[in-house]
Amino acid sequence: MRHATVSSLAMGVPVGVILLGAVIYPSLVLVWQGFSRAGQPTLANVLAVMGESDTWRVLWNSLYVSLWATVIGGAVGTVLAFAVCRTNLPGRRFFRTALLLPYVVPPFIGALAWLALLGPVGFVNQLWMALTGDPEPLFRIYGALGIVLALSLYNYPLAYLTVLASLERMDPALEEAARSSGATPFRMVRDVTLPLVAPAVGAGAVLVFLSSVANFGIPAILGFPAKYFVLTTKIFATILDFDRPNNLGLAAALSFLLVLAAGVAMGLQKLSVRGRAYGLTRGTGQPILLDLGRWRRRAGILAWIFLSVTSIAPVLAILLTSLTRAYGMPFGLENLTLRNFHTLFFMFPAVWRSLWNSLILAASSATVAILLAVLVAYAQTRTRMRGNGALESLVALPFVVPGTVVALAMILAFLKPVLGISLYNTIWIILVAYIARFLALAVKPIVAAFTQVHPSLEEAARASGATLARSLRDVTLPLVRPALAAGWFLAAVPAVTELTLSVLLWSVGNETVGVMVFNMHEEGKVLLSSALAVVVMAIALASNFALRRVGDGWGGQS
Amino acid sequence: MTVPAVELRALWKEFDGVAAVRGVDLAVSEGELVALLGPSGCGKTTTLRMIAGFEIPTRGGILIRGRTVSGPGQFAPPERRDAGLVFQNYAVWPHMTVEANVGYPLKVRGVGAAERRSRVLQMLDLVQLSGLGDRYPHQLSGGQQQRVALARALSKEPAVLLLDEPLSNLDARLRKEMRIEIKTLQRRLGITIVYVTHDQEEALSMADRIAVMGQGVVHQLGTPEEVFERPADRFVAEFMGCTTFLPCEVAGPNRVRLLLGAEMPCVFCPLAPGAAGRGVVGLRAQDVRLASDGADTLAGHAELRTYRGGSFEVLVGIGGQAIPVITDTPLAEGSAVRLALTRLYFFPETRDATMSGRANKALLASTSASAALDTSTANDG
Repeated sequence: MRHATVSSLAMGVPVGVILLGAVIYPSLVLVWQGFSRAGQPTLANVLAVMGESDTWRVLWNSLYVSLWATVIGGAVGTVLAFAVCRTNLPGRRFFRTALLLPYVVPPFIGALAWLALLGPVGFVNQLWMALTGDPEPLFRIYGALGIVLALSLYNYPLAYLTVLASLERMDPALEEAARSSGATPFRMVRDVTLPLVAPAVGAGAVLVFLSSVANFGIPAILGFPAKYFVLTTKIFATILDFDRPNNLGLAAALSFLLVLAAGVAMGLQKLSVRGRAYGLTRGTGQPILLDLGRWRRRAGILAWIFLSVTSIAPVLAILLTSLTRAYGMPFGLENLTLRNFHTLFFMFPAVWRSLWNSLILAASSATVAILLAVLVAYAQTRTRMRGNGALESLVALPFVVPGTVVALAMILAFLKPVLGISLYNTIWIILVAYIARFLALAVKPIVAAFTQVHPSLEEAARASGATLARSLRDVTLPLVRPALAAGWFLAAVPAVTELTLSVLLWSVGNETVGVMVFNMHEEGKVLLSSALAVVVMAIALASNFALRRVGDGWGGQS
Repeated sequence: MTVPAVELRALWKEFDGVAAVRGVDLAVSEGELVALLGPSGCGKTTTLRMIAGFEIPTRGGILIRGRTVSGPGQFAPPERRDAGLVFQNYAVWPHMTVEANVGYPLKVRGVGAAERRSRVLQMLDLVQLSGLGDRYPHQLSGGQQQRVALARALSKEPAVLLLDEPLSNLDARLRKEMRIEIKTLQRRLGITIVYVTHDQEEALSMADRIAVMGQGVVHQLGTPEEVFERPADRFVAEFMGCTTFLPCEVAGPNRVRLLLGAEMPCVFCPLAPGAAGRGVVGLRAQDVRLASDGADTLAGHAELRTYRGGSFEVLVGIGGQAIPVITDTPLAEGSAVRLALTRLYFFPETRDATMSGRANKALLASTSASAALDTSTANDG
């Protein structure tokens, strides 16, 4: 088996080098920095952070907004999944996809959109004050309330998708058996359907919590003006607090709290489903649809209102803001202008630069990610390599850990030149961070595809006289090619509109478009940031549309 | 005339304009086991699901114990039908214990806990699962889960038990065991059963009557013996194990002349009593014998011999046709042999299989009594 050894070495080396540089080393440095000062191990950072009352308030804020978002987002997602999958709601096929819309818009863009709608000078408050003469705005979006609202509406699709998948996978015979046993539709839902999807509801809620507690964009945009900090934004502020001694060590200690909160949530979820993972078998046929009867029309109207208020209204609001002459001007056709876009594209060369940076970063990190993913997938599905489990965890780690923590680890790891190479203050540090962060997204479909291509197909090529490399090229790769495209898009799409990592890693000339929007907003250039946000939103929609097309081609192949 | 347990009247079902069931009439008597037998896509499962109330018939009616449950302007949902259903994949609820599963129909009906418990224990005893009431389905084997599903369907004492390919997920040994068990249960409790299967052996061994279905119609309805020994048409014959079909023409009453050369007696299908003209005869390998000589035999050459443990199967080439024969004689490949065909079924030539299906159905109704035509000539030539 000389050949196998040589080729596994050839494949193992690049995987090892990249994982070592982009995952293992930064993780170790982060932990070390949290537990050391001036090269000496100490608990000083951890103790300093724990001794500060601010820390506990910020932790409480994080848990408070995330738990509320979990309750609201989980409930909304579950109800919507049920409505789409198990009732004769009018237009259910349309809603099935349309309800995912909020997750397509990057969260910080969503927050800006909510600001345009409900902010102090947003359309709703303007209208309210104009109609009632009330000098006080109706909504106060800055602070916990606005953050909970934006987090819930951004994250409910996670719960929605999880519950939907469970409902769609459930064997319709399980529900039919209940009806056949004499249960009314309502009783069937109560006794059979709900208990069976309960683990999925729990899993979906945990996803909402993890995504909420790790979110940076929403609490940054809706929290900073009210001095309302959560863990992610507090870590961000601590990193940028250059005057404070040991600020990076303190940030590292704070990041442990954030990882802990996420870890506890995941652990609780694992505990709660233990012994309840039924492994529902996929059945054949259509599930029974609950007849809404005379409520059908009303439910349809309600669904439309929900979609309009949560997805369409904020988008329209930011679009209108980007088209107004001056911020806060009353809405009117005579106040509409394209001047903001003109200014954006013709007077700010940095805008073009940031768009270009984002596209290049997304494309190159996705390309590196799928190359790595193929090797990882091959190792996981075709070899009994020792350490396959560790490999899986290493790939997943930077995606599971909150992005702010990943960015901090990158800063700490590459602040000083490593092996004579200086990445800090270059675009390369963002690239490394993106590869680490989005590798898990590329690995998933490719591992799935390799699992579907039975090894006997490769063996048949070997038996026909092909070398290992040749059998991979002629048989395996053509069969997994659609998955490669899907993996590439899955990794590239979130990278294009990324903010959390790049907002900590950018340097002049190396801005991403997310950073550009964020900075313009922080500088108070509301009209320009709105206009660029509209551009980002269009990019996000277009790239998600492309992803869907690619994904459909891939899904249809199995 | 007593009221049938289940009655289907001109039952018709279309999915998006495509007919899956096209005019099925069937009356199942109390205590009878009727098998709906046919290949996949023949409409047997759709028929069963219409009886259970999970599909609404496009036309026609369904009566359970004389009460219309599906009919023009009438539809009783599944929970208001006096029918128990056992699914192919068991559909045992994974979040309930065996006892809770079996007792569920009683619980829904409002039967008190104490009585429910005693009934459940009785049911578990019946399906030989005593003592497993506290287990969860994932702790049971496939066969045991199937018994839970059976007990659950029986616990509400339905007018009819509907079984949808209940044994197809079990291994061969268990399948045989369950066949006997279901049959025993049916005899002992006098339950009425409608049983959907694609396995002819299963249908033959278990059913009181078999309805052979193809393309949405019943090709033949009769006892297992009738269906096996007097297949109504070529479709039924193929399903009942006729593998070889030889072209022929009618030579006289119950006699055909094979285009291969010989003239011999045969069983006419009910559609063609005294028919003339061309057609085919179907035969099973077990009805072919080696003959030393004589009239009514076919001459050919042994082409391929395969050993099947204790006997040989020899493919005999005759005029471009390969006819299999099972024999103890180790015939050398290439040697000359003569074959006697002991039982042939004659089917007149038809253009359209569905036409013959419908025609047969009409005819079957009138000729089922006179089907005793010629059993004498059917035996041995």
